[in-house]
Amino acid sequence: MSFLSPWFLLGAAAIAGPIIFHLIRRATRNRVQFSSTQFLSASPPRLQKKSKLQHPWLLLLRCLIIALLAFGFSRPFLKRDVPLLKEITQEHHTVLVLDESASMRRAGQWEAAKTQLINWVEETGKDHRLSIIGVSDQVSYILSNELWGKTPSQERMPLLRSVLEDREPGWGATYLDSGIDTGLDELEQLAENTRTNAKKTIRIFSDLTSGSRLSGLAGRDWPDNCVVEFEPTVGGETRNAGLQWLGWSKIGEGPRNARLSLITTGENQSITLKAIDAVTGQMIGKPQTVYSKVGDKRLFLMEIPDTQINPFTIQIEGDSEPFDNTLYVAPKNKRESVLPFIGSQTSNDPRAARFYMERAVSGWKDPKISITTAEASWEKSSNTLLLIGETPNNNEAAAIQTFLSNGGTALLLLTNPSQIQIIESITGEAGWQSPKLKRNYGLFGTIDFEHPVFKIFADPRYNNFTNIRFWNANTMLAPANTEARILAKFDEGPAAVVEWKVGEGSLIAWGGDWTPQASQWVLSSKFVPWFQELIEQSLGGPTLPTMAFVNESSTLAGDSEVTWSSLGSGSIDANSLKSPGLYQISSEENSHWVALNIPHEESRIEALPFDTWEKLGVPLEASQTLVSDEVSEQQAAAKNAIELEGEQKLWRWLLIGTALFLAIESLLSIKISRSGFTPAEA
Amino acid sequence: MISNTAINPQALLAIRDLEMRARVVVEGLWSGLHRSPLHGFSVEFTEYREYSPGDDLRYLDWRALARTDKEYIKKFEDETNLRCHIVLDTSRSMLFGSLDYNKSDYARTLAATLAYFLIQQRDVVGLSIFDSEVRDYLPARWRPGQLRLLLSKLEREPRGNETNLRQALEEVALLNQKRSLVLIISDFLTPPSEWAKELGHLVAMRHDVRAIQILDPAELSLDFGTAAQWEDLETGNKVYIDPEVARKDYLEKFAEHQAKVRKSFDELGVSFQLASTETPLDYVLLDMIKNGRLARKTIRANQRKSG
Repeated sequence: MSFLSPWFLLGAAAIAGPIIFHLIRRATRNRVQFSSTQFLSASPPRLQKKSKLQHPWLLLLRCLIIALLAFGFSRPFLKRDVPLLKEITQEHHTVLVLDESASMRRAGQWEAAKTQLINWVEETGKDHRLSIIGVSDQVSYILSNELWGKTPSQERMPLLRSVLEDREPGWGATYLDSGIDTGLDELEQLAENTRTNAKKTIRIFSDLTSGSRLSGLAGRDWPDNCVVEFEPTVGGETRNAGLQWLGWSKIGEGPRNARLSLITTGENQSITLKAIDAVTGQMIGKPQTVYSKVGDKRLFLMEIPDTQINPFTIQIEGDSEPFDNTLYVAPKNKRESVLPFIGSQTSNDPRAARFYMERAVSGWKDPKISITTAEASWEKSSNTLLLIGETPNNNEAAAIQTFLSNGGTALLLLTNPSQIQIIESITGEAGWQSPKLKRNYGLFGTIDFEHPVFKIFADPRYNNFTNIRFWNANTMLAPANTEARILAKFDEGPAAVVEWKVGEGSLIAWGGDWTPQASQWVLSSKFVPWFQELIEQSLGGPTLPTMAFVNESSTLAGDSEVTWSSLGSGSIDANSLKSPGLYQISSEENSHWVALNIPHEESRIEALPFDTWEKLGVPLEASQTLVSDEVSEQQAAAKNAIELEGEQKLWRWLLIGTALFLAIESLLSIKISRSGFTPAEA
Repeated sequence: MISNTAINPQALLAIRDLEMRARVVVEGLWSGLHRSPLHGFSVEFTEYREYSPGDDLRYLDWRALARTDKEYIKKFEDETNLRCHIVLDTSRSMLFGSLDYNKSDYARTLAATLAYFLIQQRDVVGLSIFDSEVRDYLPARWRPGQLRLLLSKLEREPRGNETNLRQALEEVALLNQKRSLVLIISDFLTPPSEWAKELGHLVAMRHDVRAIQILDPAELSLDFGTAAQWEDLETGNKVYIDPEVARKDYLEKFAEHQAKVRKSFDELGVSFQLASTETPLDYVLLDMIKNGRLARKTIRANQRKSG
């Protein structure tokens, strides 16, 4: 048996205390109060043999308690052969994080970072368990731990050089927090696989600009024995200017302005901005000069004529770093559509549905919608919504069918129960009936919130339709085996809104008129969003944004099938789209320009304050528990002992024993004092 | 022989309310008196006398006039004959008790019982509470609420100072100039030489002085305690006492002290009564009323109640 703190065994000498106390007969401490002692004479104390020990059992217990305490404090443990910690602790797990963001494109930065990384591995980290990850707005593995481990020691440096040789920095933002997170996961995985208490290091090779994102590190739990080290790239310019796109601004009939934010770092600068048409290469308007102070962020407007419909660039002149000097701008596409209306209703009659349709779309800027009475050959346009307000005649029904077959969408208001026959002539589906409701009004009972036009109301906050009554409801009762999709049903059962697929297009029938006399629908708050959504869907869905960051290119089009093509060249793969520029997205319905830019945070190239890391609780120094590389034999043995003692924890049992004996001692003392004796005090 | 209820003092003192305790004792005593052979010994009974001109018409018995056509004047049934002043010792030595209660509790209950008993008889009762001096004084008066006032003073916990009977008697003599029955309730553990002169002064003022000595059974027998440090409640002196050893000597010295006390009272003509805290309170009360003015008054009151 060995002891971690053997000097505590000296405490066992305190056993002498209780023995002495038990030998000494102490004066009684019992007190008796009496009314008057004037008639009492002091009694001589009863004598007892001095050498006789009082209450030997109690004494034994007390001695045991002290001995156990001393024993427990000396932290005993049983020796066992375990591998010396020295062997384990010499292992290093290291993750190298290489910054591949856009700011690394500054002159000399990328080469400096690569050289620093290679030098460090060569000098220090060759024998470490190593993995290298690259970080920009995404994290990628440059060199995995498995590959590094498998490679023989002499081949490791050539491997590293060849891997780094072809790599280039990207155009994305610097998400250092994601990089460190991935590094920590890697270290945890390594520790689990090797089951060792190795020194864990994350070493960052980066320009460490203040535009780097670190917010993800707040409140993170850091593993033991982990340290984060930095190797900032040296040199490079500190003066820089970048542009952030804030949007378009146009007040009334005034000129159209591009709203921009100028981000500058370094000394005071005079920056010249030029807008250049990307197709023709002509300059738009006059160059604009902006003065900015150190650390300033200036917002300003740049006039772009309304006639400028081609995509263009805004170039910065006058700063030192060219990597972020071009802002690509794609003008907004203006969508305009004319909705043909079948029926004799005028737009000024508030007793007719058309009156409310026109008001629902007026003031809508994108798309700009107008409703006109259907004229000749309207059926040839397909990318629009046809509104059918009255019963169409046979010619019209045939035209509608053609229109639908070409991929158009039509909305039919069933103002009369007899119109149900028209459905058959358009869709070719027979057997539809229009029974009357039992009650004098109907309510929407079931709604298909999966359908695109009702999807906007799917949230429980908006899906209450129970306060909209339909007095003149013309219900639709589906035949068996119908292929129509019922979008809404009245609470009494029959359908209220039905959609048929006809050719490429679809017909939506609404069971009732759209006037305040027929229902509360057109006056309800749900009418305008629903109608606009229907128009959006008919026109091929909302347009894609025209301004985005480089990393958003893959998600920009969503699920739609589109083809990308860059200015002046053919189509390119969206996944390989990594650099900023102007691109054209084409789908079946339309095509429009998209400008991809560098994230504006990358323009902030001043150095990240070091205390930011401290504030986030990042472990910047090795903790005391870290084992140094050169562990002496003696130190290793001591660590071994600590490990063993920590594993066995014999002191716990000794403390439990002490507590048990203390309880027995207390009971015994109470018993003795109650029986009239005065126990000696330890 | 007077029968009585002999209420166990332990049970009695367990009653929290002092007035209730007094009532329990006194009510029991009345019922005892009902069955006693003292019943019917009428000596000083007056009830009506014939009206003579000049008498206050407020006291004319109109009912008797209606029945008999004769004018009778009601004699004051509630006139007070006895003025009593209770002098109660609440010094620290009275806080001793080997039973569940101490001497002070017993003495306060006794004082309350006496006061209740006397006020029931329409006597006037006053109170002086003393330790090293008179701490609380209530003059003997006939007024509504006198009993409640007196009980409230008795209910106050004693402060616990040492005894100075001499000082207390001096102050009582100064405060009570009218002749009255002075009942001194104390343990009389101080030497009589300290207070005999002042007691004599009270007697000389023609007060009817009576002393009730309250002692704990442990003080009478020293059958109490263990070998330990014994602390004097009055002086705080500590002495190592083994009661087995010290008992004999104590009993001798205590008997000697008691003899001196008794002698002092006898010489001054003061009636003395020893009450151990074990003794039922109604015994003490009966002993007191068996002789002297109290006895005569009690008999009269008893007749009034039964008649």
